[in-house]
Amino acid sequence: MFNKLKVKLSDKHGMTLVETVIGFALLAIASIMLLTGFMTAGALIKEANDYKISSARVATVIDVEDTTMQKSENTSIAVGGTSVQGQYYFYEDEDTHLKYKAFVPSAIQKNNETK
Amino acid sequence: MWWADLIAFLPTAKKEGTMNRLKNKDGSAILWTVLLTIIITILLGTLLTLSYGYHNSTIATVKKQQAYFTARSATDMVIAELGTYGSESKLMPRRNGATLKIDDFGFAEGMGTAKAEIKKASDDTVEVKVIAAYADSKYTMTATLKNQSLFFGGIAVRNLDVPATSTFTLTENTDLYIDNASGFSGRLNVGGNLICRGNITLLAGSSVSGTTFEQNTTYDNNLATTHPQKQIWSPSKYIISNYDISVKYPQVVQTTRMLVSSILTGNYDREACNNVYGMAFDPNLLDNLDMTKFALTNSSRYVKITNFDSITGRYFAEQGIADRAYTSVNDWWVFPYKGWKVSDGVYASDGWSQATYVNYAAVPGWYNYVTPGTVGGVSRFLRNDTYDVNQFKFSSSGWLDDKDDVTSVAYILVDKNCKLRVKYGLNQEYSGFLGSLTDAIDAMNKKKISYLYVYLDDGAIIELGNTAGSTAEDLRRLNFYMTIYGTENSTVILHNNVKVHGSINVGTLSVKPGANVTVNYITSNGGQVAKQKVDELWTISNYSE
Repeated sequence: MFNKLKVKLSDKHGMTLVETVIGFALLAIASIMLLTGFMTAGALIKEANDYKISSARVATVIDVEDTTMQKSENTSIAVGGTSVQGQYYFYEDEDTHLKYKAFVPSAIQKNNETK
Repeated sequence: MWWADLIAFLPTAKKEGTMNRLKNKDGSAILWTVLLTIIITILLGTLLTLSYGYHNSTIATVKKQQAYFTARSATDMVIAELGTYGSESKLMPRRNGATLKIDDFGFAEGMGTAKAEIKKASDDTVEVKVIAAYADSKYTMTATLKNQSLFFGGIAVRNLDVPATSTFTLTENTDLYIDNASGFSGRLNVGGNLICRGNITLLAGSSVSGTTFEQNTTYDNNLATTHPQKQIWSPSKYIISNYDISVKYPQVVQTTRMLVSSILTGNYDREACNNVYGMAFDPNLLDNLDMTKFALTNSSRYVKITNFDSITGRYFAEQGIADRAYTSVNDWWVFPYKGWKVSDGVYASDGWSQATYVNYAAVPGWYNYVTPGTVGGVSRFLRNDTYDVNQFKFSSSGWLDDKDDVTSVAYILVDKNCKLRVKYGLNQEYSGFLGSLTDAIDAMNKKKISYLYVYLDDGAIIELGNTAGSTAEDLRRLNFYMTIYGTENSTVILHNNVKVHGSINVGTLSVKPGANVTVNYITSNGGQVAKQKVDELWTISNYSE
């Protein structure tokens, strides 16, 4: 296969201009594809990073009951023949709009925790 | 080899100089372009693959994060339920080794699902395993809860009134329970633990369980504040607000109940010690005591202040052994052999029965009132007795023996709406050098402290230390060796420098403004009461995230 290519490339008959034009065209198309691909990869990496930061932030926000976190009204969840009072904690990240939700029983809410 | 052919094929593999390559008219632009495109495409493909992998991994992490919150929510629910209700919780497996399964916690939309297994590994260990699922992510969380018993040994009152200018001190390892949902505010020095049904505000200078509070500190149940509901330094040192330690464990004998029960059944062979919340707040306590049976079975003396007669200006009282009742407190000292003496008589100018001190009288021959064949505990109080015995035995033929190493117990019973003031706890002759000498001799002989039980019915008030002086002798005389029980409408008022050696379980314990009072919590034999289990706290010993 390479011998055939070598023969073709050794051909002294010039098609240089056509080759160049086609080469540029190919390069342009490839560049667009490449640029798009790189941009896509960059966007994916950035989004992933944002998610990671957001994910780390939400843990802190819910653990310390940050003011950016929303709380539901007191509610009770029936489980195993009893009901547990508590509140839903909501957090939506401003940047990523990721949403998290947790239920925190009244008995162990931050202000009630054993020290 | 194909790669050798490739190298040979590449223009750069040609052994040509730069000028030659520039002059070369042979077309290879497409080849370069294609090669470069292929190489970069391969790189791009790799980058895209890695990016997608990274992105997907992060998305999985995000989902896992929610699964974690769901798992934690479920675990917290189980912990909260078991921590609050302990063995009584419906989520607590009944037998050791049993497992209770929860298929779904029913969380709101957006949280996924969670299921749990709660295994009772032993009497005091519960293992919780929660598996939460959110989207295609799962998260497993385990927790181990240990039963930490809550012990209480100390005084229990419905209301504790300590003005801001006063200090109330409980010595040693004595616990304090305030059975008031409205809470407590004041300055306390509590050697043991503090539990209150309501919020607790400790004024600056207070100390509880070895911790001093330099600033006013509030323990409440208000989520808007940062104050904790519990402050637990160790299993034996804690402050707990908004907590009810009413009897939750029927198998644990509450001492007041034990006392009353033993009196009613005539089986008075157990020491009546002072502890915790029981029938102390029973509004019918004195009625339940049944004076006749009380005296007969206990073979002890008592005085019951029954009612105030506005015509005679005197309190009427019952006293002594069952078949005797006297209509005037003055009789007590007219007939001292009956067992009790109120030293300075009674006056009623302000509606109070008042005594300088309450004392068991010198009563030669008093043992004649003990039914032959019984064992009776009869006390002298505060050593002002010609006899030095506390318990004696009779057979059908008469006296057998006596001994003085048992607890001395005597009783004052204050009926509904009656009021009694006692200025001093100790008789004067036992407050100075002679008293100290007597104490030393008693200590050498290992004698135990004589003891007075006071029962307050609804509306009854006992006031200790009223108008007492402040000399060294006065201060010594302000030691009151007594345990006071009362209904929730009864009141104990303590004046400055009063020290009560015993226990106070009444409706209201009130400290006079500016007063510094102390309760030295001891049993009738002078020792600390062993703390009794009143509740259990299920606490997390292991929490794996």
